[in-house]
Amino acid sequence: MKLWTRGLYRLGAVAVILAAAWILVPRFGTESNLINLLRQAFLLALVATGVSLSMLVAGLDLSIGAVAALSSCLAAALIVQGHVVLGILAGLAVGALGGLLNGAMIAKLKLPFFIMTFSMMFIVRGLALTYTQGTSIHGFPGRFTWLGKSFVGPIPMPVVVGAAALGLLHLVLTKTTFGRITYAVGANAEAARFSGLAADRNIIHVYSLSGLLASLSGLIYIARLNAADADLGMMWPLEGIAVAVIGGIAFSGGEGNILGLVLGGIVMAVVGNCVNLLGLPARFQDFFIGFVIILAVLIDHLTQKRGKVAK
Amino acid sequence: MKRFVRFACLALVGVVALAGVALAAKDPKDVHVALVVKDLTNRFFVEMKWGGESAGKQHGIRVTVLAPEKYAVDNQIRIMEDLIQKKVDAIVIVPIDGAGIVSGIERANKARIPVFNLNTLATGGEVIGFAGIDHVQLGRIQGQWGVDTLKGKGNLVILEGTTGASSAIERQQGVTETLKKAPGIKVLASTTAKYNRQQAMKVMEDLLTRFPEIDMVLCANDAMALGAKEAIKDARRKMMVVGIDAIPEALEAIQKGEMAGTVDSNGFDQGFVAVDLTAKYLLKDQKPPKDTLVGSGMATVITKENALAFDKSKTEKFKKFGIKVD
Amino acid sequence: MVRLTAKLRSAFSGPIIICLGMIGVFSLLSENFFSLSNAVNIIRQASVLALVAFGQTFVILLAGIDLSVGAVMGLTSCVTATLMLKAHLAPVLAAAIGVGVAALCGLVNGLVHSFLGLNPFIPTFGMWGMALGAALIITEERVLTGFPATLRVLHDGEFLGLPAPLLLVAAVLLVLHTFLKATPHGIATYAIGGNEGAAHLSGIRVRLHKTLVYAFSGFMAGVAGVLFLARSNAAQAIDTIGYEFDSIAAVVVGGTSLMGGKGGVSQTLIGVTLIATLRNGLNMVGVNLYLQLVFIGVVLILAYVTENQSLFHFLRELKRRLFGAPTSAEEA
Repeated sequence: MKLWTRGLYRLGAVAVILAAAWILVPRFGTESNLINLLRQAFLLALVATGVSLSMLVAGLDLSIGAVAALSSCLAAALIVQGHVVLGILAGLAVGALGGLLNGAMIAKLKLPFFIMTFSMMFIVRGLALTYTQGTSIHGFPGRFTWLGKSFVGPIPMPVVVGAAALGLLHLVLTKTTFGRITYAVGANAEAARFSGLAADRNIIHVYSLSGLLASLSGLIYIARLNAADADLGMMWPLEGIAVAVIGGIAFSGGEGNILGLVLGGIVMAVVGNCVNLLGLPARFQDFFIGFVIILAVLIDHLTQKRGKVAK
Repeated sequence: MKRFVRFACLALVGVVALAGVALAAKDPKDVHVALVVKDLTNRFFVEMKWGGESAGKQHGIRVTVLAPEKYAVDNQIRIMEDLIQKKVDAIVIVPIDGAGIVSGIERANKARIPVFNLNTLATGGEVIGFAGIDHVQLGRIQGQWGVDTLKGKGNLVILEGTTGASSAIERQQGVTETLKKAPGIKVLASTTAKYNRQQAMKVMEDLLTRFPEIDMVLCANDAMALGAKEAIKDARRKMMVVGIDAIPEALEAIQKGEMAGTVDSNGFDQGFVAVDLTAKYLLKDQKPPKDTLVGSGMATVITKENALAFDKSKTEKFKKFGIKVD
Repeated sequence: MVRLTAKLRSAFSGPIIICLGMIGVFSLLSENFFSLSNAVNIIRQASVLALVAFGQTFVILLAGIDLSVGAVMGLTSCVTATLMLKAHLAPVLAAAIGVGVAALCGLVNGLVHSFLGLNPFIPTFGMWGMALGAALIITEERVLTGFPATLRVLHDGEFLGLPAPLLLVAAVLLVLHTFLKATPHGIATYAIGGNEGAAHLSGIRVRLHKTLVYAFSGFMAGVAGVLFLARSNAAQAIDTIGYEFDSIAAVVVGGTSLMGGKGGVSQTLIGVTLIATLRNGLNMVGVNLYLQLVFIGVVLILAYVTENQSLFHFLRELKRRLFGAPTSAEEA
């Protein structure tokens, strides 16, 4: 019941923001702009999934941007030569592998998630830059850019792919044992272990999934840009955290859901969109995002049990 | 067991470091000049690197090219400090920020290592000379071509570089200077996309929503132009996109008709001239002139007509110096 | 003899050994690495990070975290620069106000965390955004330069032949170390980190204490921001972004536990030294710029692993997974 209340508050807040933007910002409500907005929101939400999953288990995956960069550069190298399917699979595999490494070291070696994903960020980004030596890989065949540029009716493909991935994730988190264990591990890892749940394996799966989703996001981005650079995703960890927090995912673990993520993505996208449409200098965007985060946290706090002392 | 573990880690660190050395540059020459640029992920600076290395080859000296891993002047200062410790013979510096780099230059002055200033003017410290391209001129070339092509009438949008970067400020200055002289040209918006492709795509998307009629987009660099043209293509709109820097990807886009033009900022010659003057100073005691202006490789905007020829001439030039272009 | 080696062994933690090992390797590979002037060089480069990391140490000892320090540093340098340029304030006064602003940010963090009970990630992350936004707005996204050079002596100056940053860091280290180990308030910090409930029961005013610690972290970020301004002679809002993560890494690698209650500023100094030596050494040896990143990541992991002896677990797990049957009981 509590989860629903918070969800409703969020939905309400988002509706208010959308209405305000519709009225105050010129050309906000045009069809093309709303489609752009939808696309941007789902892209942001997809990027944030990795971070959110790791937050659910009381961790944080700082390496998502770097993993996306490496996997999309490697995939791009194959795709420009025409091996589209192979490239996509290779990219996803690299992402999952990176995540697997993260999860294994965190779960089995008891490395704090911060040190592991932070160091991974350096290592993977360094590998990506070493591989490309700073050049960009560009000129993809239409068979690939379709992923980022085509439409299903009026809906952009990234939204379709993003919605599918998010929907699947939602089902997994709410309907499967894996999902239940994830929330349990996040709420209290030790207790989960003592009740016999395979917490370690769960953590490994969560981080692997995070890496996989990061590389999926990367592939969609390079399909849109029609080019792959090793500096892809530099701001993704921070953007992802912002979306997750706005969406109600808790750092302490065990709380949050996919709907919140989508709403968080919408809010971030709206702020960026309005700043551009109003011709405001880019610096206001950061300030507004900070403000919205505080607002979101306040909403959470007001709907929370009193006296919950965080770590 | 514990001691073994510690030694094992020590050994591992040693192996890792040795591996690094195997990949590091090794070259037993007497004179060592270091060229510090802003960012080696940018093709413009890669060509500057080639220019500097070619000049080095001509003089038979050793040239190392470095860039910070984070785009911040503080990191360039750190590189300079480390170069001073390495006792290089001279440093050629392209400051990310002209005022921010001063403490690095002064430290080199104290260590009596000559410093040559390239591309972006440093506001303090002692340098043996400056060479650079006139960014304002690049902006003027771009702006004038825009005015001429639109025949003095049209709607324009400008994508600027990183706010506060001197190259961005100067290029913008050149563009607005020339546009002001044409009253029929309307600048609908001028905003920054931070010299970044992805940022430019996002900003352009929203600009397309804001303005249903745009005739031309002037971008302060090619990376932004390429991002912008992608957004325009996706929105199925038509307008001319012009960049600066003449990187190969832009030349390709021009030939394909996806971009209208670019301006050559001649990174290669800048790097060459700087290292050449520095080498002459070190080897022959020739004091470099206070200011050396490096010309643009082409004093006009490169368009579909001459893009292929320009690209070919550049590749020929690189081949002459033994540089392999991908 | 056994007791002596045991004492030696406990004095030399993993990160120290790695540090010494790196110094050895770099000295062999680069002829100019092992020199007094390079050592001074490294100290100067590490000083900004050291100051921030000291403040972060306090927060982590409480089992908390401060994600805002990078942005707060930037805010301080921008505020100081703006006050000198626009309000023509004396540099020292401008710096004092800048540091005051930083402490205020930290105070807000502390209040929200302690009295509203929110996980410290949240207020410090929000503060990150707001401090960055404020800095960008104050500077209008430009780089501020052209202010009086008085403050530069903090970074470039020398007293008694020693560089000013070294003296500053040493003095701060001495004060903080003594505070943590020898005063009741310092010991209380460890107590809260170790077991907050027990600390509360023993009479420590936990919420007040935590609030002050976060304010202190903000204060140190402010001081680091002023030193950063002295070093780069220019203020730009985004220049200091990244220091928050670096400071946390330095603290954790040095040996302070993220769970709180264990560690200290002298350990953090080792962590900072390790990172700074690594960066300098890689530059001196001339390792490819991009490959440097890979090395830094690997060394960070190694440093942490050796500090905490979990290499044991790794070797044992590896052995078990390769040769033996996996057990369901996990090791703590």
